[in-house]
Amino acid sequence: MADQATTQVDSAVAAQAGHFKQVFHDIRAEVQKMMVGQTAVIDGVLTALLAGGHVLLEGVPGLGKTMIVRCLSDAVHLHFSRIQFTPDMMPADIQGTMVLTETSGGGHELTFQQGPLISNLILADEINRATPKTQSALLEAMQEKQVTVGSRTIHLEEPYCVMATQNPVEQEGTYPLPEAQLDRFLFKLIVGYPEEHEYADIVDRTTGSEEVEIKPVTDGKTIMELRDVARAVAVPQNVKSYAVHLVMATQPDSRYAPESVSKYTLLGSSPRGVQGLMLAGKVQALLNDRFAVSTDDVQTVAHGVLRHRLILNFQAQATNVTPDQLIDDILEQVKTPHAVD
Amino acid sequence: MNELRRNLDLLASKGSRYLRRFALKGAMERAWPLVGIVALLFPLGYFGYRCYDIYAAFQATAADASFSLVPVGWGLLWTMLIALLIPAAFWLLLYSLESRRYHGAKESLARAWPVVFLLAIAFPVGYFVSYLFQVLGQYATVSYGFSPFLSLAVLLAVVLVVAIPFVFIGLWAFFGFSFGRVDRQTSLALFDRELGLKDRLQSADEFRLKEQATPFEQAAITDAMPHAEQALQTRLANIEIARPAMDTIKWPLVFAAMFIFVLGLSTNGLQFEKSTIELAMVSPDDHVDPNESEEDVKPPVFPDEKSTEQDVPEPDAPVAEEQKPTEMKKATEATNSESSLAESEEAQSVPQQTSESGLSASASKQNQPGQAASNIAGLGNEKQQEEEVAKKKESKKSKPEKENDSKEEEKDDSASGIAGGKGTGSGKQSASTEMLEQHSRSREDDFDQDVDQESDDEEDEEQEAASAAKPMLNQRKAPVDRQLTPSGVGFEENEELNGRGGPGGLKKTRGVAAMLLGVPMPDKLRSQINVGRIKVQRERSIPIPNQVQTTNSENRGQMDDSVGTFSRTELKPWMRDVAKKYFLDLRQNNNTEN
Repeated sequence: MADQATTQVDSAVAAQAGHFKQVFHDIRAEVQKMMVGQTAVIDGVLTALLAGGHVLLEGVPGLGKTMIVRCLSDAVHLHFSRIQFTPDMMPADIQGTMVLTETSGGGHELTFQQGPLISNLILADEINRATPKTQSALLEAMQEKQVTVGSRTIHLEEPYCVMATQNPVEQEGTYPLPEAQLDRFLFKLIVGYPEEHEYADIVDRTTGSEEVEIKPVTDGKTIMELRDVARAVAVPQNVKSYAVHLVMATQPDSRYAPESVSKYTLLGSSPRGVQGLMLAGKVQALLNDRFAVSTDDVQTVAHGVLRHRLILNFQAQATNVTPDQLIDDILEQVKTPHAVD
Repeated sequence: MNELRRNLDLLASKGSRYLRRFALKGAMERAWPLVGIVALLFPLGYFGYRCYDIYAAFQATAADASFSLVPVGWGLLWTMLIALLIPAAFWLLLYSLESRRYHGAKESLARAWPVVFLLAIAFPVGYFVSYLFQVLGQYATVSYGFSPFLSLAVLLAVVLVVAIPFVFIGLWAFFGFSFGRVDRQTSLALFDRELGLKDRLQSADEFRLKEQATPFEQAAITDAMPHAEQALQTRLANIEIARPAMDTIKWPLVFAAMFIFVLGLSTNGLQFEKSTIELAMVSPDDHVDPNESEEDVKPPVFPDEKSTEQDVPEPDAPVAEEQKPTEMKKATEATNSESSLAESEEAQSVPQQTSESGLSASASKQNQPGQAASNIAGLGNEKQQEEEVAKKKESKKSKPEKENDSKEEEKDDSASGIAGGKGTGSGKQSASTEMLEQHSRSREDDFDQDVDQESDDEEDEEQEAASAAKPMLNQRKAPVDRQLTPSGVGFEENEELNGRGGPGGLKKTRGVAAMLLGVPMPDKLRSQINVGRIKVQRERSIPIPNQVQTTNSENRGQMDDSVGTFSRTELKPWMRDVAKKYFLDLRQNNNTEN
């Protein structure tokens, strides 16, 4: 009897995990109708969406950062809004403000005109071009999923995901994102140049007469269900310990920090880093047909989760040390629990 | 569930056995770095024993034997240089790269450090092994009477330098294997890693122990079952012994190698043999100043007299030695006694003939410049300075009586050993110190009963030299009493008291004159003279009025005025129709919207 119940539970869980994986692949397939290559970036964006996090895409212009987000919004059939950040943008421009409107009786009243921040899928294009004042308007929305304007607090509808882009090269006239906001992004994904064989497909899809149509394969409700499935994935103790060790290793002068981290790092990851490792690791476990997170899953998502949480010092910038190099050092130095070597 | 538990138990025990062998590997890895140290212990001990052996043999045959420092062979010197310079050059290269922030190159070179270290350590080890063969063969021949038995030496060397470290490793590994403990999770992690199971076995073993497992935990347990059965059928690969971690042993072994080098130099350079040269020890005066005449050469003494005749001279001994000064010089050249070690040995073993020379020897051993300046006699520099003083006096003095006096003075001083103290026996003194000492000596001479006119003249010369910095120095008197103990006489006035001699009289001008420098010192501080307090001078300026031309308002021009006539282009009829139609449409649309 117990075995039968166990079998039923296992089959239900397996069905959920299978559904999760299927939806994930469907969305990816739809996005890849338009996007050529960039598989890791697409997977990262989808992982963040299904894990309930936000994504910061960094890359030079013309690599399709905005295109990925637009295709994703079409594929998941969510309300999408794009905010093009500019230096003269004010918080009210994205949050919304009270405007004076004329009533039917000829009178006037103050009504709330909501901004583009109140949506499901936000594309914050070139987010580093806005002033810190405007950038900070995103903090509450990204963390508490609500917007407060005056005395009015608006709870944002789930799923809510901010996908921001920034250009790492053109730094003049930009405002680097504050650490508090960087920490709120689950992933920072580096969008690189496509491979040589991908250029032909890009030309065909973008300059041909045939228009690519992206069909919605899921909706917001399904996304929320998949998020619940991801959060239910089991985490063994050794994986928790390993994730904690990794995050502590990013903090300079901690007991797990390699020498390079202590030498080149000004600020390490906060506990949000552990949360990110666990959530993204759970999605990875489901995608790999497992029901529990492994240390390999944590290692897979470590770069995306931790690279924007490592604030490097001047010495690192002078010697061209990147956060990814330090994360490589951390992954090499920090041994998994019960490691035999 | 039970099947999974049983499989996991089997896997844990299997992994534990495997990992205990792995612990053996770890123990061997940890033991490897110590092998070098253990291997170097024997050469260290052996050379300690070797030194003791040489010392004992010397003591047994000290009557007719001598030490002689054999020049170090070029091979040994090269070996030493290579062994020391390779790590030093490598370290300097790393430091250079670090300072230039070539981190990549530095890291790649740092990986090559074990190879460099092995190269550095190979030379001293090879040298000592070869030296060991040689010495053991000689030792066997001398001690046991049979012919040089190289195989015995090889055997001993191999056993002591190679076999013992391996035995050490074996013991270390045995204890590491016997007392090593492996926990269950580590055993299962081994199979997870080997089979690529992504921690499935560890997770299942952890979730299995939970009372209320979540659905996903239960699913993870179920998922691990087939993998556990698969792991039971798997045979783990053999463990490979890793290379020894050289980083932990580099510095101790480098220092050990350097220490052995020092020992090797000392034991290899010293040869103990029967004395074929009767006179191995010579006086340092014989070769310090080769231009001296044979009369000035102090007679050498037998080495066996060294310990007994340092304090009490034996007048009969130098008689036989004075006849062979040239042989002594040859012996000195043959033994190449220019090294500091030989000089110190000889200096300590030189028997002294007179009490004056004994004083000089003791003063030179103490290495005190002031005392040596006042007591040293019989050294070459003292004679040179006497000659300089004599030349100086000859140039100054015109009367022949003074020359006679000076010659007598020199003879007396050379006999007593005090006159040599007037010269600056040590070149380490500064000029000011020398001047002050000369002044003090001159003041002491004033109160001596045997003072002569020559010393007064010398004092005058010195005072003339220092008079620029010490005002009224010529009128100053020497201190009456240098003792600081109260005389008990009282504080009554005394003509001879000048306040500089201690508590004998009332204090007058003590301190200020003595604080002045005896040597004129140029002012090193270049600055400007203080201008004093800041003075503010107020200057009074007379204002000059500006002439402004005023204009009445009625005289100003008109600001608003006609711009004149604009020329208008006459439109063609069709253009008028178009404009008319446009504005009519625009008005009509506005009316429609409203």
